[in-house]
Formats: sequence, structure tokens, C-alpha cells
Amino acid sequence: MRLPLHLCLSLLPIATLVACGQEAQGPAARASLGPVPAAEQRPGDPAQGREALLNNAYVTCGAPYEAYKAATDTPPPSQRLPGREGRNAELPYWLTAHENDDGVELVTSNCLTCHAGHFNGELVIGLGDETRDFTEDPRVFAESVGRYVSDGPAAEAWRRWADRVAAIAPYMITDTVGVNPANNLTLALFAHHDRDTLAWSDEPLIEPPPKEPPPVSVPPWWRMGKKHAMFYSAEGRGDHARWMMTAAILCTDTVSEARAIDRYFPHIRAYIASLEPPDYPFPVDSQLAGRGQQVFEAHCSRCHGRYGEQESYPNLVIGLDEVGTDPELAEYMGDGADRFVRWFNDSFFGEQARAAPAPGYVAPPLDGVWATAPYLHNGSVPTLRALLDSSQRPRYWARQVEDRKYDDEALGWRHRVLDHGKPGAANPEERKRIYDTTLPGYSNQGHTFGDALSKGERQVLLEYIKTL
Amino acid sequence: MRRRITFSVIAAVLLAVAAYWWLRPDGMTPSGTRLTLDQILGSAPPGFRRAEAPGSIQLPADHGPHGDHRAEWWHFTTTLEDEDERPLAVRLSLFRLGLLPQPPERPSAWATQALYMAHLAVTDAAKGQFLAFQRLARNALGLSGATLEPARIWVEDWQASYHHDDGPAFRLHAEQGHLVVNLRLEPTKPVLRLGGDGRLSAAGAGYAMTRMQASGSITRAGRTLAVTGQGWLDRAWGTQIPGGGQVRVDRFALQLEDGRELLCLRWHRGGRERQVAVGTMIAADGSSYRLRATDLDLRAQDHWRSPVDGTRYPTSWQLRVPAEKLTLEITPYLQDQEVVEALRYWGGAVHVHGYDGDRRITGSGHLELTGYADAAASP
Repeated sequence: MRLPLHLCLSLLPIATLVACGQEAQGPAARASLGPVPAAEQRPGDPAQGREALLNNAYVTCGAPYEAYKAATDTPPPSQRLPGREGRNAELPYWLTAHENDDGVELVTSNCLTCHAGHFNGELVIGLGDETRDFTEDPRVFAESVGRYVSDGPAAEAWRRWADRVAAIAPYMITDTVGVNPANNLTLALFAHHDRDTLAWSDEPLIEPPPKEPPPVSVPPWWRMGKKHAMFYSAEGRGDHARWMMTAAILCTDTVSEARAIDRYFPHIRAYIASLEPPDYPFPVDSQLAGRGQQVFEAHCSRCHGRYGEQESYPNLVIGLDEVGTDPELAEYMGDGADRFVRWFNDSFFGEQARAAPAPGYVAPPLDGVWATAPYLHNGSVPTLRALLDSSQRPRYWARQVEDRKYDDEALGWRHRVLDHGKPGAANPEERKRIYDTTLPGYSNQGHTFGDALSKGERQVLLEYIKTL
Repeated sequence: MRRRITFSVIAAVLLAVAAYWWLRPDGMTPSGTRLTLDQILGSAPPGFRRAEAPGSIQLPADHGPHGDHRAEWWHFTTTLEDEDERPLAVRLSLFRLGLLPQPPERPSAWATQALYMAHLAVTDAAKGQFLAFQRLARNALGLSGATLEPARIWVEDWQASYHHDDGPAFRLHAEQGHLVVNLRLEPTKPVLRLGGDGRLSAAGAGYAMTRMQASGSITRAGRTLAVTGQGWLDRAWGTQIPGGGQVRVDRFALQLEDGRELLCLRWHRGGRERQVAVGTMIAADGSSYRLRATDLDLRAQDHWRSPVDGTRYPTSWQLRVPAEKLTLEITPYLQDQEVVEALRYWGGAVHVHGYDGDRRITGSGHLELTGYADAAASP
């Protein structure tokens, strides 16, 4: 689709680098390594934000409630959250009720699908869920729900949602249980929405992303209070609320709908930025931790900041050569994602936010890092002990997602180390549970800074990390 | 509100009584008055349970009825051979269709909480014959029902029962005019749990007994054939009566000669881009694993048009599991295995031929194609 000439001219100030049309060429915005500058954030009220996060339907398509109810089990108490109202109180925490314009009650997904997880039996809002199984085709649920949908407006609403799911499904099926496809899914949704009007197109309007999502670990929300930019390569610059509301894009098909959602997202951003990590729930040896703090400040603080009384966080993007971790994600955002960077910056979302990936990875704040296994941006290292001693990193391993038993010595989830990768799996079900670090994007290389430490130094460092 | 519920219950019971008379066992359905299950049952009154949480299968208790769920079924399929190795197939499907979540308050002996429906189908591949019959009876006056002790499900004189006397086995018995079916089905594999994330059950929770040694007899027109073969039981209970909805559902229950079974469920809305399928492979030792949509490739090879109204059913298939190097060609015993009763579907026995890597492999099974014909339309 091409814009009329007069509209192109009126957009000239922001389009100096962009040709007229959605296939615009020219350099996309880029950021450099080093410190990420702070960006002013729209003010919001955290309490209103929590309310909106738990009860507002920002995704406006989903399964008709009656069919959802018939097709699924009653959720156990561990899947419900206090503070939810009306129908939402009975739904699992990752689903939100919404009544569409035809009066059909729908069940829609929300941010907590990925951004809430269990630790020590408690549901923690903001903890990335590293156990979700995105290896299943999401069409299986969407289509099977159709069996329970009667004719009329409910059928129309179901079809709208199921068609969207069918369009994006190929971009969100991961190879391994626990890794997250949200990055790739968002890029696919950009491709299917008109940059200027946000209208949905069944056919992609720009080339969609590759069908195999790069593996990504879900970062905890409580880092957001310190971070100047969102995402691993710091591409999420400017107004964070605008970035966060891209979560609504599945069925947000007009700019006016987007503006309505945008009005309350600064509150949600304020809530997310106000989150604190949970306290470490097991014993800590404070003497060892004190020695660990010295090791930390000598070896880690330059990139990861200081904690405690003199808290500081440098917001640094570290180059791939220096950090050495799997380059695939950063390289893709750097070289392969220009069209999406342009789409974002020229769209409604780019009015206040800006996409500008840097050729490296942000060294994250380490608050509550003990709760956020597995480690590195691709979730390739199962424990902090293995992160600090690269000789301990398993080449092939399987997450024990069923029992979620925490290993309070190695700081991470218990796992099985395997002697074979995916090609050696007995069947597809075993295959999807194997984290195979020899596959592209899945490498556990890099961040070997802990190798230079003595065993004793690493031990006290782990003790200190429990206090963050 | 109370009055409305009472009215809908009365209406449902009246309809059920009417349906009972229209759909008498002898299949004397007056032309143009085929009632669909939706019409017979109406919308569900409140109070039935939602789907059972997966993982809660209790045997033998779950062989028996689940009155707090709106619907359930016992779906026995067999592929058989007579003494001359001619292929035959028998299916006996028994459905409980809940009208009320609790027993009715009326003191009448006719008062009922549920209807039971049964379908009997016999496929004789050599003779090119497919016979299908339906019975529908209220769960009152002993006309139909299900009990746990002894485990028995019956609709008039058609029944499935579970016995322990000479090893655990199901016995199926059905008589229809000159047709008499007597089969003994002895489970030879562990129970496969259905439902939950795998969604291998079309509705709610359930289980399957994927391989049972079948033996018995089929009598037609005074001639009795001794038969042997394999049986399969699909058992499910949940919220939804069979049929209806916005998608077609195809179910493949295949028994391979090497001792494995393959169960696949495919949902679609016409066109390859709107189809998705999942499966479970059951090894000879009874262990099983899931097959995801990305592990399966299902392609319709041949279609058959119903003489009723031209509805087109995909009756021949190629099923591939690339990671397993498995390619199966699935062809029907007969093209016409369509059931046109209160439920309308194509449900029939199939041959399986193919390759597991370089090794030739054969088998047989049942294919069920539902949601193709307009459920509300009378033939």
C-alpha cells in the first residue's frame, strides 16, 4: 500500500530517511554500544496500573466464554490471582474477560501469560514464566474450541480470533519447551498490520520474520525501574508504555483503538516499574555474602551496577565481542530486522517510542536474579553456578518443568544433564524437552568472566547474589 | 428464573419423549423428520460439571456413568476377519445424554435424568454392505442405563458389559432383526489417558483402550460367522453433546500390525491452511508419546459423496510422521460408511498400508469424520 503524495509531504519531517511506502529503504535507526541514555516516561499511578493490568482487556479477540468454559477445566486456585474482578476472578491469571461490540463475552490473553511465574509455590507477578510450552501449535486450542461454538455472533468472534491465531502460529512455535517466542510473534504481527492505519491484513504487508523463533528467556519485570531501554539489545527506546502496549496488537486494528489503550498504559508501566523482586526464601550466610559483595564489586559492578546503600546501574550495552554470548538474536535485530524497526518508528507506536537496536546485549540489573533461571538471553545455562563456571555448563540438558524444584546450592531450577542432543531423542516428545546448546541461537557460550575467579570466590559470590 | 429452568426441563423431556417414539429401534424414522441431537436435547440446563481435570482417571469406576457431566460415550470399534479371512468391522457406540444434572424431582417412574443413544454399525467389505442402526431410550423403567456393579451400559437389548470371570474383558451384545452381534474384547495394553493439554478427546476427559483381542460371532439371516480381530474403546465424558460447532473433526484410530497404535485428531474448516492435527503414538509396550502438529502431515487422497445430499467426505488419506519415517496410506473398507441418524457422520473401518522407513507395514483401524453435513438439516 502506498501513501498519497500530500500525506507523504506532511510527514516529511519524520520521513527524511524513509521513502514513501511501507517497503521503504534506507538505513533504519541504530544505537551504539555503551550507556543507554535515559528517556522521559509518562507519569502513571502504579495502583491504577495493577488494576488495569489484571482486569482490562487490551487484547480484544479471543475464545467466546461459553465455548472456552465448555472446552476447559476449572482452573485450580494456584492459577487465580486476588484483586481480579467479576468474570476475571474465575479465570486463570493469564486470561481476561472482554465483551465485544456484538455483546459476545470473550476470554482474551494478557501479559501474565509470560510475565508471571511460580516460585516456591507462590505466583509472582513479573517473574518470567520459563516453563510454558510454546512447542505446541496454538491453532490446536483455537480450532478445538470451535467445536463448542454455536452459530451467530459468537461464531463470528471465534472465527476472527482463530483466523488471527492461524496467521501467526507459524512464527511462534518454538523448538524447545520453556523458551519464549514473543519477539518473533510481535514482528509477525507488525508484518500483518498496516503501518499507518494498523488495519489487519491476512497477507503480510512486509516480509514476515523467519518461522523459527530465536530462543528467548523472559526477563523479570522488576528490572524495568532501572532500565533505560527495553529488550536484550536495548531496542526499546523512548516511552516504555508505548512499547509495552504492543502486547495489544493481535486484534488492535485501528489507531483510535490503540489510542484508547494507550491512555491507561502509562499506569501499567508505572506499576511494572514499581515492582520489586521477592526476598530470597532460603537461608543466607551473611558473612559469606559480605565477602561475596567485595568480589561482586571488583568483578561484576562495572556492567551490572551496585546494590545496597550506594545503588547504581550503568545501563550498558556490551558488544558481542566482549560478552561473547550467542550472537544470533542481536545480529538478527541488527541486520535482519530493519523493516520492523522502520515499521515501528513510522507507526502509531513510533510517535512516542523508538526502535533502535544496538549491536550487543544489555548487561541487566541483577535484582532477584537468583529467581530468574535459566540464564543468558536464550536461557541456555540452567544455574548461576554454571554461569559463573563455564566448565559446569551442560551441553545438553532437560528442564524439569513439572516439579519446578529449586536448587538452592547452584541457584537455578533442577535439571537433568543428558549425553545426547535433539538428534538422539527417542521421540518428538523427548526431543522438545531437550535444551541442545549446539543448535543455532541456543549456544551457552560467552559471559565467561566467572572462570577467572577462584572456586572460593565463586562460592561467596553466589551467596551474595542471594541477597540481591 | 426457576420457572424458566422448569419450563426448559419440561420442554426437553417432552422433546425426548417425542424423539423416543420417532426414533424407535426398528429405525422407522418417518421421512423428513430426522431429529438431530441438538433438536432433541436443546440447550444445556445449568448445573452440569465442566470437563474433568486430566489425570483423574479411576478404573474400573470410570467405566461406569458420570451423571454430573452432560454427555459421555463408550465407543467400541473392531476390525475383524471371519474364518475365510474376509474383513468385517463392527462398531457399537453408546451415549449418555444428560437432560438434568440431578435426578428429577417428579415421582413418576417415567421421569428421567438422561437419554441413552446407541449406534450399531456392521461393515462387510466382501459383500460391499454397510448396515447402521440407532436406538434411543430414556434412562427410566430399565429401558436404558449404565451401572458400575456390575459394569454395564445398555440401550434396550443392546449392551456392553465388563466381566472378570475369565480374565477382564468387555462383552458386546446387540440384536437387530436378523442381525446378532456377540463379541468379547480383552484389553491387552495399558489404558491411554485422553483430554488435557493433548486435547485428544473431542470433548472433556477420558481414556482409550487401544488394543483389545476380539473374538465372537456375527449372525446374519440365520448364518453365524465366527470372527476374530482387534478392538478399541474410546471413552469420554464432558460438557458437549457430540456433533455441532464450527469445525469439522476427523479422528484416526489406527492399529499397526507391529503392535503400535496411532491416534490422530484433526480439526479443520476446509482448505489445508485451516487444518491442524495432533496425535499420540502408542508403542507395543504401551508407552506413548505425543505427536505435535509440526510432527504430522495429513493429506486427503480421495473423497466420497453422500447420496443423501452430496456431502463430500475425505475417505482416503496419506498420513506421514516425517521424524519417524512413517508413511501410511489409509483407505476405507467401503466408501459408504455414513451414519445418518440423530448424529450424522462418516464412521468406518479402514485399511492401513505403508512404510516405516524401508519396512513395509500394514494395519487397520477406524476413521471418523464429523461435522461435514449440516447438523441441523434433515435429509
